[in-house]
Order: sequence, then structure tokens, then C-alpha cells
Amino acid sequence: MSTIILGISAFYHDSAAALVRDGEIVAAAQEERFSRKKHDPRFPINAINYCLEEAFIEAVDLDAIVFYDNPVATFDRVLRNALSVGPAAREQFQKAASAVLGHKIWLDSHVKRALGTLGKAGRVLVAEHHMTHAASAFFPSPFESAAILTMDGVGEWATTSLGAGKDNSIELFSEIHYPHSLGLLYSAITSYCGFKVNSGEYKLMGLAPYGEPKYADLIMEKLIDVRPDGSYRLHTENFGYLDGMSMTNERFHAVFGGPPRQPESRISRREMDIAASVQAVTEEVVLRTASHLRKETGERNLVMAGGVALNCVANGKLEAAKIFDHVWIQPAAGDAGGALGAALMGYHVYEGKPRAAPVAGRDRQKGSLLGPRYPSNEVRAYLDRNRLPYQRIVDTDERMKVVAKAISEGRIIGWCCGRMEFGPRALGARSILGDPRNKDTQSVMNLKIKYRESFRPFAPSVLAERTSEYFQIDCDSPYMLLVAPVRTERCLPMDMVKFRGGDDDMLSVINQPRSDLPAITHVDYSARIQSVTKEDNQDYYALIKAFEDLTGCGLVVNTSFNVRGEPIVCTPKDAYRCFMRTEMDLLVLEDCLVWRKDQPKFDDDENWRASYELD
Amino acid sequence: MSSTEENSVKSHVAIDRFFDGELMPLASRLRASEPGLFLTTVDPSAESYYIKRTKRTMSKADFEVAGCVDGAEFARRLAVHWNGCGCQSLALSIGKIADAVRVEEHDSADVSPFVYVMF
Repeated sequence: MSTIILGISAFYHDSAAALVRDGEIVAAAQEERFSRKKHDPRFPINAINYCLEEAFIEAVDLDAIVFYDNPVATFDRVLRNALSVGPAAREQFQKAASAVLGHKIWLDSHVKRALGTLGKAGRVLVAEHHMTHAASAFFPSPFESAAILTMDGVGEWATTSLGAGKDNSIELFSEIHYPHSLGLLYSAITSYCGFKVNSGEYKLMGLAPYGEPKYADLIMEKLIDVRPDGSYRLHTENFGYLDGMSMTNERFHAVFGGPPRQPESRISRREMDIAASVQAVTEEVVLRTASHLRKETGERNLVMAGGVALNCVANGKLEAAKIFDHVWIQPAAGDAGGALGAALMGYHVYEGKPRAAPVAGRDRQKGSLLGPRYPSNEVRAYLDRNRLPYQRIVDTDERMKVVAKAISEGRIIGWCCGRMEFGPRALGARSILGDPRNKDTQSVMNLKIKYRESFRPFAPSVLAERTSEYFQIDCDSPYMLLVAPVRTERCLPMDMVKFRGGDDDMLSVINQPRSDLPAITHVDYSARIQSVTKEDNQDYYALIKAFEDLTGCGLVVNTSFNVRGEPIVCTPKDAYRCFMRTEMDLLVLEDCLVWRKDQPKFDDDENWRASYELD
Repeated sequence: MSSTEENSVKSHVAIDRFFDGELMPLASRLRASEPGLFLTTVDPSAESYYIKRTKRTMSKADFEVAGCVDGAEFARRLAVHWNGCGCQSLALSIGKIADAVRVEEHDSADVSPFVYVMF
């Protein structure tokens, strides 16, 4: 008899559902992919329905339903925050109390109304927020035992948790508590630099290499106090989030000598330097914490989750520092991954079921391809119904050759094949692809496809066996969570005199080729790597291999299949719509090739530039 | 004014009344008896800021705390959670507010830009 557990994260941001059967991850998906609302916080009914469909079960078959956060502990924090702050906390308390008391505490009612049942357990179970992050990191990892590090904005009270996992148990032994939070520090500076909290952090990380860490000492002096063991406290009087509705306050602004940058305004040298500075501080905290954790646990392996674990530059530094022999990071490290952690906690900890011994070197995340797939017959039904011309090439080798040739000719490809990714990164199932050798690829993809800031770099998907030929890294990076240097012999000298001399124009740097792979080489000669194996994604591997056969280059440019502010596409319809709204040349939907030149005029029924809020 | 807006106004009134009538008076009392409900300041003499967890793992019973049917049940949970601390006296009122602000359908897909602290 199987044991089936559903995990849910909701009512915060990035709602999601995940389903585990007998310890195996069957399905996981984020609600935003179905609802088309970025970071959708609502009860994830669409994601749950998908998980049930994928498992071929009804909701009554669920042995347990586990929520990723304890509402009582969360409300405790909300209330104590108000008690501590006093009258200035009124507006914040009103909003927070409405949210927790209005929605989050009525979990059973939400589930019963949506599913008609509470499963066999007859109640919704609750796991601690950081326990679910820890479970999402440890249980799918390839390690029998490991140290655990979770870092995020805040979950209940914890913002950083240290622990260890072994067999089917998770233990957390040390924490940092709200209001002290490395994630909130990073988010506060994200906000100060004019980007949106909870989605702009990635931009700040991308901006950092343009600057110098001139403010790092100032941040360490005025905003965060870090101890040698990596533990820290914030100078909370300089932040706005305790007693107001913004992350920063006037004292925070004074630390950096002026007001915040207005969103969408020109990025100045100051923002570049602040980004570089907070990035350096973050890396320092992560490295010190990891060293402490290694000493405390004696473990050779480390697993990580929580939003801070999506900082792939810090992850790359951690990997290179070799504090641990091996590092594994949950690809859905943010709150969506809490659904997966909740399901795994339910199976291994609540049900007490054993964890299968890891197969040498292989994790259990299945390439994080845990979402829905739309097979060829469904794709063709969609295309035929809408009278959209397409070319079907059933033979995989032949199809890959055609697509590889198009990439080599500078075409931009929309690629929607196989099961959708779980986690914020596109890993070759819902991706936009281009030629990394072409010096125009970065600007074309940024400005004509993604409609986003030109400073943001793109990532390479590289054949795993050729990774070390291109990058200075000695491990796999299957989930695009590690940044590493491009090999020195591939790099080209850049003229930085004008830029370093005070010119804020990043285009003078961006437009210079930095290596023989200009589209994926960032201004500091680094790249955010995805190593691809046949085992994880057969079709995607075959495509890169075909590109290599044609050009000798064993990698392609990979960016998420969406425009700025839009959730990554899920269905063939989403993919076609995004394809037609941009200047992509070819859309690959399983074995169907949809060429732009053949398409009828696209009548867009939505003002998508208004619908997708900028981040 | 729609019924949703009316409910929202009623909720705000209930929460405001609680904030002024119970929460802030308690804050004043606690401020005198428990200065620093939070550790909000840095301590240069501290070797470490880590807080050692007294409970390192989750037991089966720890999972079984959800399932509020009404505000009174939530109030009981809070009272247990706050056993022995100054907040315990607030539990009953919070249970009543919970009944008042309860929303059956979560129809807003908007995420606050202030996501971390609001919830």
C-alpha cells in the first residue's frame, strides 16, 4: 500500500504544491504558472489539481496534507513585533493581522472547500517553515548525511537555521531570529537600489560585478554586525520594516548618503557599488557560517535552501572555498520549495518512513522537471484547432539538427519540451535559447525578446562532460545555482578605462566581447552554469549535442521562457502567445516546429505590458 | 460600497480597536517589565548571536496543531503558545477578531511589495 503526501505552501508568496509517493517526488508546481500571476500567493488549487492528476489519484487517497508554515508561530511574531515597536506599528499590524487571521489560520477550511476532503489524516498537518526548507534540501540530495543551512527573509521566527540530516531525520540546532535577517538586508538594499523586493534580488546580484565593494565596510559597521562564526544581528534602527511599510527608513538612506534610486531610472555608479558591497557582505556571512557549520557537524557534505540559497554567486564562492567536499542546493530554494519540503517532512518525519539509500552521485530531484508535460498529440490539437502552421519532425536526430542549425544562424528559439521545471530557473524545458558565440545574442535577447535591462547576463547550458573546458569548476551544476569563472584562455581583454574612470554607461562595457562566448560571459568573466546530462533531460542534451556537432561549441544560451514580469510559460498556448509577442524566430513544442515567418497575424487580446508588472 | 469593502472596513475597525484598547496598553506595561521584547541591538561583546534551539526535531504531535474551526479554537492555541507570558491575556480577543476578519475566498492575486514582514 502506497503512502501519498501532499505538501502545500500558500498565503505568502509563490504558492505551490508537491506530491510525494513512497518517498518519491511525483510532481511539484508553482501556482503562478497556471494562474499567470507572478508570485501568486493564493491557495494553489491549480497546482494541487495538477499534482493529483500526475499521480492518477483523487484527493481522498491522500494519506496526509502538510502545510509549510505554522500560523500560530507566525502570528506570535506579528503580535510581538507590534508590542515591541509600539504605536508606529499600527498600519503594519493591521495588514499583517488581516492576512494571517483572515486566511492563514483557516487552513482546514481552505483545503476542505477546495478538495472536498482533508485526506485520510482528517486534518491539515503543519510543519515548521525552516524545517520544510531543510527537508527540501536534505531528502532529495545525493547524501546519506549532511550539514544543513537554510537562510531566507523570515519564516515564523527563524531567518537562518543550522542543522544536520541523516537517514530520515532532520535536526536543526541553531538559529538567527527575526528581525535579524541576511535575506531582509539583501532585500532592503534591493529596494533601496530601485528594484522590487522578492524578485529584484536577482537583478542586484547581476548588477554587482559592475561595481566595487566600496560600501562593504560601511554595511558591516552600520547595518549588520557579523561574528566570526557567521552569526549576525542587524542594526534594526536603520531599517524600516519593523515599524513601517517599507524596507528602509531615513536613517538607512543616510548611511548611503542620499535617497533611494527611483525604479526604472538610470542606474548610477552608486547602485553598482552598493550592489557589489552587499554581495561581498553576503558572501562573507555565508562562508563564515559554512565554516562554523562544518566544525559543528563534522559533516563533509552541505545542503542548502531558503531564498538566500538562490544567490548563485555566493554559492559559487562557497563551492570554490571547499569548506565542504560537496554542496547540494534545492533548486526551488524559495518558499515554493517549502511545499516539497512539507511533503517530504510528512513522509519521512511524520510517517516515520525510511529514506532510500542514495544512488551514487545521483540526487532524487529528477532534474527538477516535476511539472506538467504536454505531449505531441496535445500540442498538435492546439495548433490544428487554432489553424497555426507548423512543421512536424518526429525523428529526434533530424529535429535537433534543424533547431541546432537555426541557433547557429543567430535565430532565437522558444523551447517548450518535456515536463516543466520546479523552481525559478529554466533548465531546458521552458527556455529561450540562443548562440553563445554571437556577440549580438545578449542585447537581442534582452531588448527584443525579454524586454528587460540590458545589463543582465544570460546563462549557458553546457554538456556536463565539457563543463571544465569552458569554466573553472570541478563539479556539476545541474540547477544553474553556481557561478564560476570562464576559463582564462577564453577571455578577452576589456577596455575598462572609461568605465572605471567614472562613466556610468554600462553599455560601454556590455557591448565589448569578453570571451569567445560573449553572450554568457558576465563583465567579471563569470557565468551562471547549468551542466546538462542525458539522464536529467534527454531532449535538451540531444539538442546541445547537435549544436556541438554542427559548430564544435558544446553549450547554448539559456534563459527562461517569459518576458519581463511574466511567469515562465507552462502550456503550449502560453508558449505560443509569448513567442508571438516577442521577436523569437522559432518555437519548438515537442516535435512540432512553429516558424514565425509562417504564422498568421497575431491578434493579442491582452495588454500584456500592463498585465505583467515590472519587477 | 461592496460587501467585500464593507467587510474590509469592519475588519480594520476591529483590529484598530484591539490595537488601541488592548495591544498598546499591554505594550506599555511590558515595556516597563520586559525591556526589549526583541533583541534589537547589536552586542559587540557577544561571541555568537546564534540562538540554540531547545527542541531540535519535530515530533508527530508537533505536526498536529492546525485545523482551527473557529476563532475560539485559535484563541485556545494562542493561549497555550503564550502560556506564562504577558501576551496570554490577548488570546480571547484575537480569537474574536479572527472570526470577524475571516475570508472565505482568497481572491486577490496581488503580492505585497512588503511580503516578508506582512505575514
